[in-house]
Amino acid sequence: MNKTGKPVIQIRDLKVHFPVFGGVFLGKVAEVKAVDGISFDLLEGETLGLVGESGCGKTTVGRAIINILRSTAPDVIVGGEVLFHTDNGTVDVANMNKRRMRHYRSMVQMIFQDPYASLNPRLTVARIVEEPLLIHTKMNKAQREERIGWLLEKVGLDPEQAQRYPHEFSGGQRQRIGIARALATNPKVIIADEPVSALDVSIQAQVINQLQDLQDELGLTFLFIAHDLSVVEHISQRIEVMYLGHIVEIGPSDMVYNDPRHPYTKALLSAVPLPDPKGAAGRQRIILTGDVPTPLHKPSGCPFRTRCPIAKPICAEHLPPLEDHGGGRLVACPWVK
Amino acid sequence: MKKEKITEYKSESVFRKRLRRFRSLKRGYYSFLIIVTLYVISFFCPLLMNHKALIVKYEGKLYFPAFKYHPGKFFGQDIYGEANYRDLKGQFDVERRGNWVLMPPYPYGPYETLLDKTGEPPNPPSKDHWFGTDDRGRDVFVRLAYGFNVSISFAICVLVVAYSIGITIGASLGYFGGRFDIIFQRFIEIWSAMPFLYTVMIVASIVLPNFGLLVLVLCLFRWMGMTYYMRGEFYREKAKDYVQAAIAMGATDRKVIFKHILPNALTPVITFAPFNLVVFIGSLVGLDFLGFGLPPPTPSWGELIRQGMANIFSWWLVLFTFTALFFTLILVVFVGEAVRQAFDPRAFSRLR
Repeated sequence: MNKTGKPVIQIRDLKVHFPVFGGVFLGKVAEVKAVDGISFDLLEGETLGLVGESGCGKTTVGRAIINILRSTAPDVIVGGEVLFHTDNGTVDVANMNKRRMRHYRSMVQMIFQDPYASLNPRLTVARIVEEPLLIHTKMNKAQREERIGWLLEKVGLDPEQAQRYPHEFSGGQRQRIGIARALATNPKVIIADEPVSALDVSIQAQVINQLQDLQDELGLTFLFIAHDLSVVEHISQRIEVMYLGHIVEIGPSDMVYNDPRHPYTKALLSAVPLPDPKGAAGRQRIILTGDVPTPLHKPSGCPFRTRCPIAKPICAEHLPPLEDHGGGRLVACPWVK
Repeated sequence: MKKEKITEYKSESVFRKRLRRFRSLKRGYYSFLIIVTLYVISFFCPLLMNHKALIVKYEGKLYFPAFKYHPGKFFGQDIYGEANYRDLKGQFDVERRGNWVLMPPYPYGPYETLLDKTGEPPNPPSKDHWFGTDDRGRDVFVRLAYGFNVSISFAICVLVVAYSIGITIGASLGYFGGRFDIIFQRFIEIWSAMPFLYTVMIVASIVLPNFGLLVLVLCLFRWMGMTYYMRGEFYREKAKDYVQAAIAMGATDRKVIFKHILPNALTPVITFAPFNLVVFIGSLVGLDFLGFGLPPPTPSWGELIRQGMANIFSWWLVLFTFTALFFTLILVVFVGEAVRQAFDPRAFSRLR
């Protein structure tokens, strides 16, 4: 797709810190720095894959973009900017008025990881898909019914099943209902938070291909969050690798996948199982030592230095900036140029 | 051909499924039917057990004394106040002048002192007074029946008001969370330390308690229980993705609370309701027993038990009251047990 598309969403120095309360008077005793100063652009019409191991802050980035962090963590500290570009100009998500926020909510939607928890068990499929239409459009009942039928067909479900309840569907079907709900208001951007990791492998492929078809047809922009690199490589034009709240490498998908630069990306990619065992035998496995440090007490300087095979004493001094390696690739390690 | 099968298939909501399961639990379901039927019947007590006649035919005209007051002189009786319809019936039957009186099946009222009986009240059970009379000569059977209605109505009122307060506060604690939650929880803790009986005594010494006031006082002390459960339910449901999805699509707080979370958070409300009903019935009986309850001469079970204690050899006072109380409470408990079982997610998923 067009790699020179203009940015739809720009993240500038985004920080998400969750305070930890404790002690007698429940004061703030620590901070979990889930996302610690990341910047990237989401370009129109692209699929940007966001990868990293569990707890690195991928989901938090997605939730910060659709602005639902405060609902579960009222005391969260969000810094930096999430800029949303529309035809009428640019707005910062943090200081939007109610009207603007409504519009933003209809433009940026999310597909959730767990298809069992993301659908209200008390509502029929029709009511679930109808809700965004009720909030954001002035359609009458007949128009809404028609749109629901159209959406269900688009995601590969039988519109005749609209009056059923979510528990009567399989995981893949439920995820399709979630996709239909996200598409209901004609959004521009979809944040897909590990949309297939809860599904069987055979279903994964179906759902991913469906997402790609929908992207081509409706001109969607995807931020595709995943920990499964092979899935991300299949769907994304660009890949962004996160580690402990920082971006360590970002670049076009084939470059990152075939020629990883950052030691963490290398380790991550060497852990991907290959379909051909013969090829896998010749490959060098990089096995990282130790566990991911807790985001409560992050290492000083480079967050990866405690497990990095090429770490030097100077790594502990300051955070390595993202350096341009050409071809649209940025890497946050000064030793791999 | 496959399509036809799909349209024939009827989808069932979670609630429907639980309802069906509740119906299949025979003991609880029949208890529920019995208690509801008795309660509905108890609203017709004035037509079934009353000293006022249902219909009087007098001088070619029909009168309905159960609904309208007629003085005794009106029917030619030489008494003051309301007509005595039992006497009137006897009189008309002897006269045979085409006048007649239709009495209720059990022709004694709840407030009526039957001093024409032989001997000092309380009188033991007899053919006319199945459960005897109390220390003021009032029919115990009638008072038990009227008291049943009062007890259940009272418990339901307390339940509705206390639950409304508890659900609203618990829901907002769980939904909004943060500092509001922490501060309000401490307030609830302090509030629940207030002594119930002292407050009731103080209130009863200042004003004569009536039905509404007692409901209010009981609610003041019983709304906290539900807040804990609702707060927990809301905390849990709120973190689930379907709520997050609703917030992400821009649903208002009100809509998220009432359309999404509340229907999924009602399990503790429904499962606790019958057991709390038992508690509230017991509370009213206790208060009436101590004399801080409903004002006399309201028919009340607690007051009958108190009389039973004062007249310890009038065994019918205590025996019949306790029997009625026992069967009422055990029926409600059976219902509660069945509801709990019907809502149990484990048994539910196994038998699905």
